[in-house]
Amino acid sequence: VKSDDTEHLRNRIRELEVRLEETEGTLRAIGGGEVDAVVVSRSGVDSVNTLKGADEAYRLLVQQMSEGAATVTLDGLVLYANEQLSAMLGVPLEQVIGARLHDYVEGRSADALSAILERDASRGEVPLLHSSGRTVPAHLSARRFRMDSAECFCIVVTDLTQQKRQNEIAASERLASLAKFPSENPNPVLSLGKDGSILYANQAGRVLIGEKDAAAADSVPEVLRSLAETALVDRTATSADVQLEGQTWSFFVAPILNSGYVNLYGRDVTEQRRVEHAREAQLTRLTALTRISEQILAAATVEELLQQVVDSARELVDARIAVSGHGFESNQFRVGRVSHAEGLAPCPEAGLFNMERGGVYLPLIEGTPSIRLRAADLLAHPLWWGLPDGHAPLRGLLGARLVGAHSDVNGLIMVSDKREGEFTAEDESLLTQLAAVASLALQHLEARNDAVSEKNRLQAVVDSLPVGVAILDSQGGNIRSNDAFEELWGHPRPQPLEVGDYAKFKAWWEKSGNLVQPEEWASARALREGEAVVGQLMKIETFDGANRIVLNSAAPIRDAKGEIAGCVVAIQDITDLRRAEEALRRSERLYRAIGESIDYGVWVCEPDGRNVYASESFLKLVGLTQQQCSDFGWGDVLHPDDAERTVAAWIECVRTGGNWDVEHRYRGVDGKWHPILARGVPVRDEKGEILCWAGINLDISIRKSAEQAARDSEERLAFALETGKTGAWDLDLVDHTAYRSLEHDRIFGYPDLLPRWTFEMFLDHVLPEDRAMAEAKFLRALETGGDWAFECRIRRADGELRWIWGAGRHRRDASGAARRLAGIVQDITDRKLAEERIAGSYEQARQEIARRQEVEADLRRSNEDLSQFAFAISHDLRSPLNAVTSFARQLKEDYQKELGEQADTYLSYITGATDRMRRLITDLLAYSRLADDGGSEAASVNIDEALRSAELNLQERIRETGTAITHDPLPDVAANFTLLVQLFQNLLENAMKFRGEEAPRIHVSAERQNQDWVFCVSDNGIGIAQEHLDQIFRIFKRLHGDEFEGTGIGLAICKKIVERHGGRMWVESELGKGARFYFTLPVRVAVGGQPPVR
Amino acid sequence: MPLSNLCVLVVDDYEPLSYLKAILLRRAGAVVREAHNARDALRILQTERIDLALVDINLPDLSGKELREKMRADPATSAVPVIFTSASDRPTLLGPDDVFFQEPLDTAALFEAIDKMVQRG
Repeated sequence: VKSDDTEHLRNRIRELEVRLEETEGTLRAIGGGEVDAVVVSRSGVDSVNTLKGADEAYRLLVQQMSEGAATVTLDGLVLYANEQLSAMLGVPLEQVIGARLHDYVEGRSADALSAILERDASRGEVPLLHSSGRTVPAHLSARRFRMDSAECFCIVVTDLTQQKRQNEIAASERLASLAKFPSENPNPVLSLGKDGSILYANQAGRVLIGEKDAAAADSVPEVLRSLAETALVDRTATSADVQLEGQTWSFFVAPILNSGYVNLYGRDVTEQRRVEHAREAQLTRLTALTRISEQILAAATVEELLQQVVDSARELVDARIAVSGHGFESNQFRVGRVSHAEGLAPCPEAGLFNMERGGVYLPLIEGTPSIRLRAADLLAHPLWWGLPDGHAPLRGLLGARLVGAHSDVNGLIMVSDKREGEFTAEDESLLTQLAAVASLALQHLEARNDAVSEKNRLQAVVDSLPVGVAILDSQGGNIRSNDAFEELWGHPRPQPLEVGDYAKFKAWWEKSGNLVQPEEWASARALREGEAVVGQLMKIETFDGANRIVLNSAAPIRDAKGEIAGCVVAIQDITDLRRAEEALRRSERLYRAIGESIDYGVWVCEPDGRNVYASESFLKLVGLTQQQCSDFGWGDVLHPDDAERTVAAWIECVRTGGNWDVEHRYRGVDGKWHPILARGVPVRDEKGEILCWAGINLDISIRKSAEQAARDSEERLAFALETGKTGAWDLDLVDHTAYRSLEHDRIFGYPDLLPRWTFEMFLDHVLPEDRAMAEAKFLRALETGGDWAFECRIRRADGELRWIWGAGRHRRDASGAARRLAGIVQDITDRKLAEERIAGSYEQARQEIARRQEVEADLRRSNEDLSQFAFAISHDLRSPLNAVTSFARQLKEDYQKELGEQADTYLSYITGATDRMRRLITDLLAYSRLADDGGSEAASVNIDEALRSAELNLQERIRETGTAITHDPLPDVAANFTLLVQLFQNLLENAMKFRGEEAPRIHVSAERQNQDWVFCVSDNGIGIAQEHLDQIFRIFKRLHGDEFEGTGIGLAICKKIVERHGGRMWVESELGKGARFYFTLPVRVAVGGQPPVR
Repeated sequence: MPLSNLCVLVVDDYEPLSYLKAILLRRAGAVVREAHNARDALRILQTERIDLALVDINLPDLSGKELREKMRADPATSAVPVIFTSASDRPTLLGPDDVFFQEPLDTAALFEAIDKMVQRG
């Protein structure tokens, strides 16, 4: 046995131990508090998300290994590699990462690599290609594991170059030993023939095969003969270990092909092999520990990890049973994961394990890192109380402490029942190391789980939020956002990397409508100012093109040092909320509108009477603000007479929780009292407690005035009935009761109201001869539903006979059916008597009128006759008069000389008399003509002109008398020109005729009085005595004797002319002071000359 | 003589005046025939040569105007000119072309009018 081999192995073990120590230290360092609990998700090349802490711990571990290590995807893409692998390949690390592992494998080995990567866990020799072109013998150990979201392989690459060289050295050494002379060789050397017979055996050889006959072929152990045979057949030398006589022999089998025999060189490698075995086993375990550490670190859950720990522990120390126990509390611990060999029944009492029965573990609990008991020691242990029935036997016990982050996983790993022999100190060391690694991994995993669960919880919360949430880095770049955020902004949304990129997000301030600048965003401000910015109200345009209204907020995230590491953004879509608010406002507006449409709106009052709300219409009426009204201002405008009653009613209303229904008056700003009917109901909360009263204010001024009017009319009616001596009655057609006024019964001769009254009682009072008529009218009214009225005679209770008048009508209910009869009755006896009297007088009057009309007609006729007579007579009188005149004139012409002077005188008297007679007749004729309709033509007459015409007719006489005639401006009137000329002519003549001493002065004036023109013809004549004033207009009335010529008919004609025009004429005068003749003419005179109606 | 050889018919129911008019006309040289009603007047007019008729408006059987109408209706008398007379004012029933003299007569004017109206040979 070469000491090199042993030395090499020893060195290797030391190396492994050092590495484990380093790993342990690293893990401890990680577990000691460096694990970052803040979750930062980061998108990797393949979107694998891992914890930063786990990543680093793993990286540290693999970086410290002497082996190459890499993480590759299922198809060989290198995600991560350590420096060792990089050195093995002679390629810079950064080139290795991202390359395919296949690129660094010899072409013919590619299949072997693929085969390894097809299985969950496998290993094999896969020569690698160094960048120098040299082949690097390598051993690959691959294990598939699952990271957060992807599967990959963790590969450990062992450089076999050294090992190969050592193997080569061993072979050359072996060859060298062969070169020694067999007889000198202390080791057995045998030469076997083709048939397996011993051709030669040295001393050691003979010892090996015993003292048997060398010739006996069957004395050669079968195994050696077989080796020899194979070598001859294969024609190649081989080497093999052979177990003989309890010893391990290593034989080099060299066929001597030419001679047809085989030389076998043996060497006792029993001890060497034992040591090698042991070392190799330990190496295997250490390798396994390393691998296990990797696996443990890759475990996703605590359960998985613990299972791996117990499985690994059993494997490491070659035991049949391994179990983990947790939670040392109240002398109990919980059985965790169990690993056992097939066919074994582990502890049937799963669950809690009583310490008192397992007192052997106490040292572990008390702090000893490990315990090791041999089988016999265990059974002899004072605290060993045996096993429950059915429990697999425990032979020996090995235990180590397991310390997790959480107390409930704290506990131990125990293994028992070693397959061969007792647990060794080495086993104890291995288990202790495993427990240490497991503890670290456990702590790490728990921390990671905490973080993960925290992260998941957070993520779940964030994702489920109806609010869009995004986590931004310190530059403002988007790290992560939830679904709501994605949904809100729509697609395709750009990924901002910094604040400047916010310009791509279109938003406007809700209030100003201005565009939101990138640096104005809540997130930008949170990052810049380090303070939360809450509730930015803005309108955004999403990347789907929709418009939304949002509330945007952001808060900074600080790292452990307090630096701003990023921020959280929350953006809430309030579009619908706004819409709802809008709807609410609209509905509020609606209610308000409804409220305002009620006369004086609606009101809400708290139980203490405080008005919470009053409609604008009420406030306007009383001139209060809502605030004033709420401050009990309504009390100030309440009518003083209503105040006490209202307050009492309110107290009662609050006490009983009843409805509010009160009429009261409020003083309006117009100073008037407004009657208002307030109605309301209590408003209750869900518990039934009264919160307030709410109601409406009705304007009852109209109703009030209607009531007043009804009262007034009732009073008027009562007054009318009373003063009119009218009785009223009202008969109910259903129960036949009849209401009557007192007057009603009095009419029928009763001093007081009778207890009852019926239609039959009424009929009894009616005289028999009128009864049928009265009843018929009443029944007919009943049948037709119409009104009725009648007059009849009654015999009163006191026996007096009276006339009454009755009338009535049906009174209908709301459905239109006749329910009542109502009527009045009146004593019309006096009226009847009066009517009879009047009827007599009327007949008299009628006869009188007829008589007078007859007289008038006679008068008119006689007037006409007279007029005609006057006309006729005036004409007929003229002819004889003419004859007299003419013959007198002829007599004078023919016989003047013969008759003498005296005859002349006589003749002149005759002609004078006839002239006068003729004038009289002419005037009479003129007057009589005015009686008929002669000269009735009316036209617009200029009075001035009429006066001038009259003057012209009288010019001779005016000149003779030296009369001065003046006049005011005179109007136009509708009149007969000729008649007016005659009027003025007569008046002028009259004035000139009755002149005084002075020359006559006549003045004509006109003055408007209402509808008349009043003309005045004044003179300076002799005037008229007072007693004669009313006589001068009479026909043929002459006041004076023969001193004044005239017929005495002129003024009568004047008066007649004026009256024909609808005017009046009169005179004012005093004797000696002139006279003023007044006459009026209507401003308008109806055509035809009839006087207008005055 | 202003009215020489003229034959004038005086129609007036009042005899004194008829007589007076006849005297005055005869003094002026005229031949005078007298009638006291319309019927007689028409008979004379139809049977004798009359140069002019002096007719009182008011006759017992017809008015002077009606008499004139009858004269106009008869070709034998239609050409005889007529002068109306009356004690009253000029009657309104006369037309503007009708010649009228109110009594007492202004003989000079009357003779002048007659002379003008009668177409001499």
